[in-house]
Amino acid sequence: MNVENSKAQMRKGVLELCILSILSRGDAYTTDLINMLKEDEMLVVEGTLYPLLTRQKNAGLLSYRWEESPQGPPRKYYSLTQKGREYLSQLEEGWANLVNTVDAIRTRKNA
Amino acid sequence: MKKTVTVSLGGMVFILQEDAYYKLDSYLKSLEAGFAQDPDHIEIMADIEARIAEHFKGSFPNSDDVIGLSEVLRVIEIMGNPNDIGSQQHSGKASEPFFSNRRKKLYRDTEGSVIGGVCSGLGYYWNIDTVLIRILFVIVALWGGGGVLIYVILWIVVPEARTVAERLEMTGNPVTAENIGKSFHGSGKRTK
Repeated sequence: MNVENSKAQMRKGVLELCILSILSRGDAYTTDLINMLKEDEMLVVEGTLYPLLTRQKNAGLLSYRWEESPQGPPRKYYSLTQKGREYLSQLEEGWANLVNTVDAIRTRKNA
Repeated sequence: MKKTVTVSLGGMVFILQEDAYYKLDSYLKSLEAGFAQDPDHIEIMADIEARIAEHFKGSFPNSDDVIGLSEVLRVIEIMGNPNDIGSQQHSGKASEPFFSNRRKKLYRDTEGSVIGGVCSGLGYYWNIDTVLIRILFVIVALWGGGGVLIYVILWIVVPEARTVAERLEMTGNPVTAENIGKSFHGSGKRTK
């Protein structure tokens, strides 16, 4: 057992929700997503994001398009699909419940 | 003085020092092996390579810059090791070795061949001296001609070991960057 490991597991669990949430505010290119998630310390190693994005895309939650970049090869821009929006609202509901439940457990006085 | 290797990564060209190249190559191979179960591993790897290229370009913007081992190590640290990345999908399996396929494959060894490399390939496969197999084939051929037929069929059916990786598979050595490196320097030599 180690604290960093446990924290990492927690972050991984909600990373999916965070990606969808960021994309619900506007399209983003993978590196933008990485920078935002890293700034908020939601992402420790960048590699974690890629399998997740690909899975969400293949599940129809995200779509992407290629856009030219000022330097270097074209970039992948992701956007949230209608299905992704619905999925996100379900996840948000789940998250709210989870926070409430966990708080209730943490603050409950043992009878 | 160090040798350099030119690579194409994520649609860009980079010059890497030899040790940096082997490090990166083995890193990418281990990532790929980690994702091998994933049906989308080709796409995931392409995305990751594009990101690594972006990091390299950020540190070394000029096309004639030479990327050293320290930069490769820095980027690997940022991207994360296969265990960190892969554990999301199949936790519990994370500590499995990446190169468990040490299985030998039958190839024709055209570098050590007399005719088509069939006997030499079989020698590697069964770990028997090639000369014995050749003698056996000749005896069977003299007996009734069946040896010639078998040889020709094997010649057609068994693929030739063309790449370094295939040669390593033929000899039963695991395909790692280190072994590929070794074979580069001593190409054609038997590594039994």
